[in-house]
Amino acid sequence: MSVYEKIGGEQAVNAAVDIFYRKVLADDTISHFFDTVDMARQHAKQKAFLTMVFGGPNAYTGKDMREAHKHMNLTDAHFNAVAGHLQSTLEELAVPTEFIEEILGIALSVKDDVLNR
Amino acid sequence: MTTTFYWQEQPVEAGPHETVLDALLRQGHKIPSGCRSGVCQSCLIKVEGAVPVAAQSGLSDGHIADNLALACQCRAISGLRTGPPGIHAARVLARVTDKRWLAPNIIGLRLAANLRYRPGQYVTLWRDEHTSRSYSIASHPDIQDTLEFHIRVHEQGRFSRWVAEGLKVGDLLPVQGPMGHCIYKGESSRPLLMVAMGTGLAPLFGVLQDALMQGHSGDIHLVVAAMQAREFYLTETLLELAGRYPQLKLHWVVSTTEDLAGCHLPLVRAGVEEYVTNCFPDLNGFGVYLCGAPRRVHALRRGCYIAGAAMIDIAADAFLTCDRGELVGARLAGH
Repeated sequence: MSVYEKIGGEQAVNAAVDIFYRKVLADDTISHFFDTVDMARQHAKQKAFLTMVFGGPNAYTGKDMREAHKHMNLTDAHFNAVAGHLQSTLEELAVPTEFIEEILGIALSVKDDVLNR
Repeated sequence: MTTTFYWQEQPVEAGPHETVLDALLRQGHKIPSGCRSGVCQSCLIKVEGAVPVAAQSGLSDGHIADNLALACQCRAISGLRTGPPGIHAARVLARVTDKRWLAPNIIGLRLAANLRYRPGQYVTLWRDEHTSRSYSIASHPDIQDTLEFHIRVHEQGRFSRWVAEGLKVGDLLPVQGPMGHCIYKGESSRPLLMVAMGTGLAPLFGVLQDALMQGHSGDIHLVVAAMQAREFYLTETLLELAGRYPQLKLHWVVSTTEDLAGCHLPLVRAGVEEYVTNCFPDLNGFGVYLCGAPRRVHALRRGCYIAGAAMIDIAADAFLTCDRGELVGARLAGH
């Protein structure tokens, strides 16, 4: 059973996505990356991202990740900020620590793709 | 790399990132078009076979079933077979029943037309085969028989100047639609925040009337924003509604530096985003409606979301405040 199923599947994603995306947008160190994007569309992408890191059914590939972030000149600091928001979102939702670790592990696994390394 | 698609069986060459509309217009085909942003649906075409998903965004189920697509949103894919929509049936003829100035630069236009709509939706009005503009419907079908529009008249506006100077009571013009999802969604006890910027008041006046008629009991905050105090309109009607429905709270916001002495409205001088952020720090549980120019709507949508409104509860209708004719070629993301 994946973490995704253990924490409640799509409902867990729905509960997390608004909290998570709100934290990202409110963070001045990264929010400018979202200045010109269509919020509704981006919201859907965040949902797909959370589904992936929760270990749920998803169509995300490393290539997509790389392609999407290629021209953004992202640094470790940007990546860590997003990962931090993911962690605090999960803590806010009282997700058990062991699951949080597993989820952050999956998020970390796409770091090289996101930072185009 | 060019691609070749077909218009009425004739091959048409298109550049790598060109839309079907751009390619057709460049090669002299007479295709009606308006906003070029996928909003007005003036450039409907018929496509054979698989239609690119983006080209059907916002279309009705009926249009999708008929394999119609928006030429301005349709990438010119090699081998695509396209043609005219053949659906003038999707337009109805409307008769002008009333025309009057609501503010120094805003005309109230009333049309009699056989059209079913939800308050807050918009339609496309056609001056002739090549000139069309989208306007939100400000009326409520259970309150008046006619469709009402608030049309900002621009000095260079090909459509709006014609409405102001050429169009007369009794004239006929085609109306296409309705379109859009900026409508009252029920949930009568939740608080609502409506931000109407400029003629963004039109759809929200429709939504507001709908909410009140359906017995909305939660607070309804209507923020009416304008550049200058003299651009406020419908003020008496709104004040009268607020007197009748205590749940309706009006906020009048102007961004001008003009002298506001002598104005009878309780005006607040502020930028609309600043005002909304300060007045509504916690929007958790609110239904939010935002109507006005794209840049303002975009910024407000983000602000309201950060303030706690759920994405699904934010309805936004962004439209060009300039006459669309001046902006042909401009593209807008995220309406």
